[in-house]
Amino acid sequence: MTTQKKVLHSDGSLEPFKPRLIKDQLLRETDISEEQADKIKIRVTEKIKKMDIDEIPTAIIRAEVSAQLTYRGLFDAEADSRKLGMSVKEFEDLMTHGCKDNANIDYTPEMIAKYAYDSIAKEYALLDMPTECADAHINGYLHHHDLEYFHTRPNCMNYDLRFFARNGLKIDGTGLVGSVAGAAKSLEVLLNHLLQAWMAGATVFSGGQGYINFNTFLAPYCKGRDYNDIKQAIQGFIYNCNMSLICRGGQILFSSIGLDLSIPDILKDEPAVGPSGVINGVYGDYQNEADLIFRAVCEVSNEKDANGDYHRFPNILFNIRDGDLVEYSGTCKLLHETGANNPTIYYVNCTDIERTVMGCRTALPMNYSGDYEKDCANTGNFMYSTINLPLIALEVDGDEQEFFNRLGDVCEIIYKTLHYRRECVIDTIYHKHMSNFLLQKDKETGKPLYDIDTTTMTIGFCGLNECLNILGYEGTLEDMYEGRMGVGILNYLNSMKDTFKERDGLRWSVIASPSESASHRFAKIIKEKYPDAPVQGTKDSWYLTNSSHIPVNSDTILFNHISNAGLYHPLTLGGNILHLWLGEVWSDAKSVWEMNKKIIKSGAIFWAYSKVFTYCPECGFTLNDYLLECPICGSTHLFTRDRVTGYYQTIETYNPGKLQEFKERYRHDLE
Amino acid sequence: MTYQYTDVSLHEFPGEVSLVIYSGGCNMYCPFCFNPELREKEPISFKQVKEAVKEHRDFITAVVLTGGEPGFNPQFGKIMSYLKDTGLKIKLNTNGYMPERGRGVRRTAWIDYLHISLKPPALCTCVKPSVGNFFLSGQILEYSFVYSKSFFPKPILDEWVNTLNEKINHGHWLERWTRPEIFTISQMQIGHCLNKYYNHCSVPSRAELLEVAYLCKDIPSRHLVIETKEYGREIVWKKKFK
Repeated sequence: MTTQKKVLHSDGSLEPFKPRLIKDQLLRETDISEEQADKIKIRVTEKIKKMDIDEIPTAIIRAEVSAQLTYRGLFDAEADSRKLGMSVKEFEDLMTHGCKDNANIDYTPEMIAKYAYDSIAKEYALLDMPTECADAHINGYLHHHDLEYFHTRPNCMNYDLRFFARNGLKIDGTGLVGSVAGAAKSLEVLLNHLLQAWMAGATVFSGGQGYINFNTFLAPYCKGRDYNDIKQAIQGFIYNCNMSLICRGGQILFSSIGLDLSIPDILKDEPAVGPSGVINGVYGDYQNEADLIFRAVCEVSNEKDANGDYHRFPNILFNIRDGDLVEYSGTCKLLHETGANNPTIYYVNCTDIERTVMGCRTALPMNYSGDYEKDCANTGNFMYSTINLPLIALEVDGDEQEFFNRLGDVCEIIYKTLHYRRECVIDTIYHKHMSNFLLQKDKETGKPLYDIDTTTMTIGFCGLNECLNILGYEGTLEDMYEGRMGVGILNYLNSMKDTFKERDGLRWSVIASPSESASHRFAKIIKEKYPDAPVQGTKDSWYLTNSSHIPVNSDTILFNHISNAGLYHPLTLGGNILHLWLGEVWSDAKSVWEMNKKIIKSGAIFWAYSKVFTYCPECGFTLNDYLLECPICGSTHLFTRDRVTGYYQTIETYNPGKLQEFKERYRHDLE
Repeated sequence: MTYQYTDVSLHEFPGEVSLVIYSGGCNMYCPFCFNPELREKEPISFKQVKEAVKEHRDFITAVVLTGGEPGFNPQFGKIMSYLKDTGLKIKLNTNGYMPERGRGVRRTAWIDYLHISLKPPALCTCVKPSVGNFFLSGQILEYSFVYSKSFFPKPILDEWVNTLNEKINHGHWLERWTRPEIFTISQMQIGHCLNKYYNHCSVPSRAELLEVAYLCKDIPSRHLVIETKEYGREIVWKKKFK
């Protein structure tokens, strides 16, 4: 005798099984005809009645419906009715082991919430975007970054802090939820506002955030203040950045600040916003105060935290302009004394053109409208997708003309993807009003904080080195000057960028992508399709050389890396980085100064002296070296940190590809 | 890369971006030598030096010639003469046991920075002597005569380095006629020492180095420096001890 079947819902409730509901749901969720829905209803009901259980989970009914739709070739309807998310086993794994995808996210309940959401949103993004865009990602020709935020958030933002200095802060954009702060009257309060603005920004951006000209714009707030108070305020700010577990899985605030060695010419005659948002003179009057902030940031950074570990955020970027490095004195001396043995800082070349850069390497040069405030301030990258160059090279079998044709096709897919995402995000920000923080207006000009039209739409790439090898260019990038094929490929990407710019009038750029995870994913896909393909690493830990870099295990001379950057940085104005992997534990400040002068001359735009460092949490000892045992207390429980593509991460959190890259990295070392 | 034993340093010659050239071969046997493989290598040839310098020329401001023992290189004079012509600053790291080389250097004022590594006679053997005196006081005597900066036609920076290990802490070796600009007490590095026994020594701590620095307080050098891997180069002011 058969008993009445019941349906078990995900919330635990039970209700009688009604075949009619299958049809209703199909008609509601998909575009299939009533007749088709009836057929599926009958078929699924038959199967369910035959099942030897009385309480049938909705998931099983859905699976049966999906099978029927697929069987009938109704693939779009299947996609529409599919339930998103992870399996029970996957969720249990996530709860038990956490996830290592992002080294800034610790294993906490917040992490579980993020990755559970991510699994839904990523799947949805791939289902929802145009099929060819999703296919290109799935098959490894492209990597669309931040899929989990595809529909809701732009990538990153470099703020002009004068906006908050003039207007105060509305963290929700309206004052509906949070309190509204007026213009800050003191340095300490302004710094609080800046931190809170970043925290609010983290809820609406998927990537990093920064403040440009940090010391210049804060300078008017230091007039007449004691240096110790200034330093205390800066110390508070830097500590707070590293002690704020924010949304997006409870990660540390991904942030950067740009410091000026001297007040930039472009700002010297600009009215200076001081306490209470009142204009007081021009920025050119505040060189001494800007230097005090500069000094405070350098000192706090070098003093490390209470445990002796480097502060990793905000990333500190030093903007070097003409004349800044001429004399070894003042801020120049201070910078190099700080930078010689503090591996966490970055240098930005602003000698050719004004530009602002963020720690993630996204660059905003003043080359779009020529207006500093429009091009470099309160804007950022909207999105970039990364091209798997070696895979395209493999598929064309050495035919260069075909290679460029295929590259063009892939760029068109990027164009389509970015435009699709742009529509989604415009809908989120401007129609659904989900990100009102970005729409708060300047009280004088009425301009909103964020303008999506000034953000960069960016083409990225990975594995130029392997791509050249596959196309038959001997050796690695350092031998490539005669061939110039690498330059040819980048010129082609730039011409695509120009074509797109002409087509839609938007701000297109090319970035040397920081492919933290993509390089491992790309290499794995390549090895599955072409087992003999020349990629880096070993079995299970394949990786591609990042962007246009020389392979990390190359023993080429250090200066070839600099020449390489001089060659490719001007072709990747959307962002790039030169890593100088130094094996030396200690460097001399004046020698670093000499070196920086040479690097500036080479044309490189953004660089860092990346030394591996080990930190002992037991005794607080830190050394720029890879150690297995603490030389001070003998502890073997140590954290080793190194930059992979952008910022410092603990090597324990690396994925297999990154770990392999770390092991193979050639360091310029004398010992 | 033209020669395996060259690299760039932001540390070896303070204030300069230097190309460090390691020349293979050595006239001494120091059990704590941490570059033992270099003893077995052929000395770098003049051609290799030329190529290495050419390759790096656009970026470097100085060349550091070290080893092994650069003085042991039969083409030492030719190499130095070439380096001088490049206009780069030159640092010479030597054990000072081949003073006839030093005489040439002194006469022509080709170097800007002289780094002499002191060798304790009880441990280091001069296996291929050229002067034959490997008693330390003799070494010091030779040094001070040949390399003393008062003999140089132009001012140079000279540094005398005592690589310390637990068996060697005799600051009083140094006789009163040595007047280096910098006297450095440097931490021994273990790991792949020439004599494997030394790999099992404990590395002297900063505190131990400071003790030796105290013993050396009367050495008439301008600066007294201790150098550890953990803390880098630190100037120890002599007046602190007085």
